Amino acid sequence: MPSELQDHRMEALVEGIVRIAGGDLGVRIDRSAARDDIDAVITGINFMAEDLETIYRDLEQRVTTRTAMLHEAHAAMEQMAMTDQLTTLHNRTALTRLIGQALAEAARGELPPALLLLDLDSFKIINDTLGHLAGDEVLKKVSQRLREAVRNTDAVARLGGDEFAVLLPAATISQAKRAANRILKAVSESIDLGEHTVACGTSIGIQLARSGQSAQDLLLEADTALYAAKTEGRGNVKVFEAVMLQARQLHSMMATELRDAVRDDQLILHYQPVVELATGRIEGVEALVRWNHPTRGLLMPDDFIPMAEETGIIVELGKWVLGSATRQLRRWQIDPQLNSGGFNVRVNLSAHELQRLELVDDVRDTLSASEVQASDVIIEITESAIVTGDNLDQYSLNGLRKMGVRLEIDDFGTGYSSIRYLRRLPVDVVKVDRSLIADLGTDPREGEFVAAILGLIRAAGLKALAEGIETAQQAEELTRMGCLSGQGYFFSRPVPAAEITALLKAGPYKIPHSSQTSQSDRCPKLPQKANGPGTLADQ
Amino acid sequence: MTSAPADVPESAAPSATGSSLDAIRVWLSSEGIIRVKLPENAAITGEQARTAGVAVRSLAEGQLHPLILDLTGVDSVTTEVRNVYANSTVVSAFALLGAGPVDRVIAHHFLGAESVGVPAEFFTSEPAAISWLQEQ
Repeated sequence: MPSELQDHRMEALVEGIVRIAGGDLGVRIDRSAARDDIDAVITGINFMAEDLETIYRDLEQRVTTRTAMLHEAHAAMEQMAMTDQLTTLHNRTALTRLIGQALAEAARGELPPALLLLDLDSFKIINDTLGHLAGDEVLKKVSQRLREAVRNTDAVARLGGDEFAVLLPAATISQAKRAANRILKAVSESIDLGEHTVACGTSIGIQLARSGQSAQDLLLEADTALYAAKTEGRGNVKVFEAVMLQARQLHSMMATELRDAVRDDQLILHYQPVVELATGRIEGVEALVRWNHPTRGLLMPDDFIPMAEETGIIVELGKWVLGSATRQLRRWQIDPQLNSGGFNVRVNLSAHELQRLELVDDVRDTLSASEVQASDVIIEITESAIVTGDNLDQYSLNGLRKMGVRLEIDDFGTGYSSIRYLRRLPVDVVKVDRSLIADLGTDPREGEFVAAILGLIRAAGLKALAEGIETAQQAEELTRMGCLSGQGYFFSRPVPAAEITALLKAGPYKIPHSSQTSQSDRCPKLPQKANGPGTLADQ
Repeated sequence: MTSAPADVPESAAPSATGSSLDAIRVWLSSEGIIRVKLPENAAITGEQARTAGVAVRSLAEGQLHPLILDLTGVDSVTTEVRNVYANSTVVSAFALLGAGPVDRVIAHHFLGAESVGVPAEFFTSEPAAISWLQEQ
């Protein structure tokens, strides 16, 4: 083989290796026809370059494929992170982003976005009575109706639970109101769930974005408008006003104060005597909570119980009331100066508390700690709570009864006119509402009416207690009609425990007979007490 | 170029394509060995190799056979050709036949493939190759 050929191939080999080392894997070195050792080396180098090229190409292909998969996965995850899984509507994160975009558009001169927030009026009842699957179905159907009730350019979101939002990206307040009315109509139509048909209204809060407003502020203000709409009942639409926010902030501040009040012993109990009408003996008391507010003075239950129920503070408040009342009961029962055999205490229980699985155990523990008999405690529950209660309520009521606690329907005659349920309710006593006996003694027909109610209660095997007795005549009439117990200003307003002690020491009230009563007896400040002056010092 | 023995019919003789000067020849020898002869001075492509593979499977008729791959004087083979070799399913053992250092490098390019795990050796002598296959 000529030497110049060898030199040429060696140069080509070196050049080829240099180019391959530099990353040019497409290089192939020419071989001679000699097929000698140098050609063999060239062949080997070519194979290695080809292998490297193949491996690199495969790797690049894999990187491209995997990168594409990563992008797809990322897009899918982002979609998931922005979507409510149940309804496939936007979720809160997506809505916040869309509000931000609409606000940015508004800043560039577009109309501002309007935000509508809504929640369903009866969703909890549907969930509780028909189960969560039915609840989910309702949410899906409502979602569909919301989509259909708005334009394609509007965004519908589910913010959680039964709370929805509709964003109108560039809108006027009148457009927003029209959309709200369409939504009200669409959502209020009955929903077919197969075996059941349910009706599910909504309330809506609207806010039109102001210049420079943040998404969070817009959400807060629309939510405040929704809160105001719900406060006024069902099926309402409210546009945000600044005064709503102030009211809500005040409400929020008061909720904090109430939480502190339970903890810091700002609550006090007053007690109103319950009198055995046949004898005038004080058979027990009803414990009534007051809030001794540091700046607003003594607040009545109507001022704070609704808020306590709404915020869940009612649980702690209820425990405090039961504990304080039963400890006081124990003090009266063991006082040797008081003839307080069978003396009992009535405590009001919120319908919210019946929903707590722990209620029965909590009551048992409290009674045990206070060393009072369960039979000396009567729990008052409103008529509506007993009649409309679900399985959980029944569980609580049955548990309390098994323990020996007596149950009493409060405000009987105010909620439901059906009398059929009286026979099957797990209660012992019925407290006839004050409104039913208000005209007793002045209207002869009223007497027959009250007598019929008392007869009905007796026929159901229950004990009757009349509240709101303000006159001697009412007390006398009720006694004559066979009503066993009564309470009201005629006997005493709710008073601190010490005054109850004094009343107990004073002995039984004197219930007048027909010959003794007159119009002057109507004055609530003139109770007929057998003895013991000054027993109504708080009136 | 190696010709098929007169008593052994050619089973597959794909026409020459690309830069190859002749076709790959495939036949079954009297010893029961499948013979594959790559054309000399030809650059073998994947397509040619796949065609030859079809011919090999046809000859094997579902049975395992020893195979002599004669690559003497071949110019080059692509990675695809090697993949066809590595994916053989009807070969019990490979004897690669060549002459000289270039053939040896090309043969070891095949041997270095991630084959199906059948025995494979390079030979410069046909009788030695046949003898080795018969021992397998």
